[in-house]
Amino acid sequence: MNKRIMAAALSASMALGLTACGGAGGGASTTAKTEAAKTTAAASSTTTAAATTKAAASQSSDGSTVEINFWHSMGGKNGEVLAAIVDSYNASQSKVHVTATYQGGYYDSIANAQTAIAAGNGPDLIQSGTGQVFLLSGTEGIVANMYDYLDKNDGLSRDDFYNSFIYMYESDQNGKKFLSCLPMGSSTPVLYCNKTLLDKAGVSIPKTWDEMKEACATLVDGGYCDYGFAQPRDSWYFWMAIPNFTGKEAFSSDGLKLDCKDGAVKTYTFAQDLIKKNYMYPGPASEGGATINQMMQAQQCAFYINSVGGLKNQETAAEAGGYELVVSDVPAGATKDVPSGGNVLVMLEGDQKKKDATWDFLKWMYTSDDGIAKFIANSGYFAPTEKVKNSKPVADKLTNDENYKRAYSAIDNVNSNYYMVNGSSNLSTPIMTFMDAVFYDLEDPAAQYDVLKEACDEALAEANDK
Amino acid sequence: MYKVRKRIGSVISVILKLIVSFIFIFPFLWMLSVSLQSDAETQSMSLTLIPKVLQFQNYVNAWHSAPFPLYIRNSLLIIVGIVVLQMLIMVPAAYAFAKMEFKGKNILFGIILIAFMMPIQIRFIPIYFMMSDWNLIDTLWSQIIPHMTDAFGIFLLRQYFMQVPDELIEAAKLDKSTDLQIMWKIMLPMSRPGVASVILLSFVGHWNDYFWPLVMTNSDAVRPITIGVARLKATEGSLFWNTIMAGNMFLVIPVLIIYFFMARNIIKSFTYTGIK
Repeated sequence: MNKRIMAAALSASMALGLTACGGAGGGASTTAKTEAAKTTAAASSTTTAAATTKAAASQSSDGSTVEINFWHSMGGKNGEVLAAIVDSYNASQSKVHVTATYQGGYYDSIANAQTAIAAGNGPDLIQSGTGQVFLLSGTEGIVANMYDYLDKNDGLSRDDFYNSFIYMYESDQNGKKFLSCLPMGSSTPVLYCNKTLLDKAGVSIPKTWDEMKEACATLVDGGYCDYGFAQPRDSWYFWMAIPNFTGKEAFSSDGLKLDCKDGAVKTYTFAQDLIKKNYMYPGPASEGGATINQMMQAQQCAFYINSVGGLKNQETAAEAGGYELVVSDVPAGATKDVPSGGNVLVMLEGDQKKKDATWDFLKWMYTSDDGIAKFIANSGYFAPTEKVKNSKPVADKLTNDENYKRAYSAIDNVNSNYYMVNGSSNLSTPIMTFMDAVFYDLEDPAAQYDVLKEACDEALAEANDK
Repeated sequence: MYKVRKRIGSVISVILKLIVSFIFIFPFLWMLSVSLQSDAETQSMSLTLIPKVLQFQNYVNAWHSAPFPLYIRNSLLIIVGIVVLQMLIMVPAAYAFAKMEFKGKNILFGIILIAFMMPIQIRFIPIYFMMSDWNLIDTLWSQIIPHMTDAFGIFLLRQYFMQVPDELIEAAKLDKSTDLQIMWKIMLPMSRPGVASVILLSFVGHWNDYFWPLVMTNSDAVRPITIGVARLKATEGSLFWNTIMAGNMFLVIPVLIIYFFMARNIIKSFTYTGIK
């Protein structure tokens, strides 16, 4: 009997619990969802957005508040900063309410967005990695043209943005200039140096790759550290290496073929030689950033080529490791070219009212000290506009952090032309296969280039439907 | 001589068992250790196995980094929903395939086996569209309905039900028992280890699922704990492994509790059905 009562109680609680499963609309499910939202608010301030969803939705019914869904990829501390930024915006006005939701890393987030957009459930605004935005903007009608808003010169215009961080997102669509996104936290690779170790070995900060090789030889062969420089496993560095080392672009002028055999073979033969002598450490297959941070902290390597977005990590590592950190430009080959990276904000096409509300949020983000400026100041990213650079939080950072200030010179060396080749964002897998074969298995760069070219040309042909 | 050999054999057997156990237990112990370490200990190149001072604050930090009570509530609702629906659907299906004769039985079972072999990545887009058409995206239902049956579970229960002697069923039918009564009073009690295995495998699989809820949901209000744990990992910036591992402990502990209570039945089940 007791068992029956227990079973009935469980069934009842199950049935009650599952009333929370319904979507928006039903009375019972609405109540349950509101309760869920209340729980969220109680649990953490970072989830205010989720907690207030219901309240905002009810306000929107009388037409006073427009609800905006903002999907982002920031976990950890950066996620908390982003949530605080959104909270500040929501508190600053009542016309628009932004609900920020974490959607996984850049790749997870974009895959999720692609599926949702196809089914008509896409958000209004997405924070994406720079490389991933092209997966959305490659199809017409998905992404809104930011020039439609920037050219109104309503508090934010195209001239505000550093050209280095915006030009690669521009294209021609139906005879009109089209801008697929706005840069949020911008970055380039920089050279992090353990100045204390260099001084000990009597080595200067290298300005060219030949100087880098000499510096690493002194450091490693002299027993000052185990490796000269480290670099994480990422296809980004392929796009850095080719134009930097050779002074040439990676693709044919029509953008349909990979066309850099001589340059790639020269570059990767040089790199392979460095790896064989422990002058270069190409990073582990996963969590490379965290591992190399630890190696820098333990002074196992003297240099680290990585995104300027990791500046704060490096400063923490230097403090813990007890050495002076100096940021410099990536060594020059034939040029000083470096690719840009970081993350961008993508407004999706849709209801005009929602787009206008999204623009209001974006405009605030780029003009308020509580907006992107806060995010930039809490990381090591470059400000995407002069206004953000001059905002109080970023200006303070520039005054107090010599390395951050020094890193800004890299903006003049940005070469992200590869982004403008249709289909280049689909080449990460063959490029990583090539780099893994050359770096880890020490395979012949020339033979591996042929394999890479075949895969890239096939992917480019598919992307361009030729 | 025989006794010496036997003793050596048993010593080797114990050593091998200890090694295998260690291989499986070490990642968990490592996770527990990191979850209690300080930032300096996790970031140092030298290995810390036992933290100098146990940092329980990491658990507090992880707990406050995301709405974990809400995530756990959602995870529990999803799991209970899936398991209850699976039992309601899979037990009669397995019973029918094991003990009933009907036209097209083998073809239908073949179709189920095909589903068993098809990865979720192939099926998720059509299922996503189906859920979207039913307005179930961003609800708990879209995380329950697509999993309300499982080909492997039907296969496993069928194998188990086939071991039950037909004579028992015939005797029950002579006593005018219905199929429902036979399932409830004969098949399920006699197949308890098999049912326990199906429940546990389903629980572990869906409790740890990240991909499906990430695709099907957009808001914290309906998301499970796996998404919360993923949020602890910074996309850019420093990785606080101690907080991440503390979050992972929230994820793992319920699985361990369930396993603790069901371990005996599961081992019995796999031994009995010959699945190794």
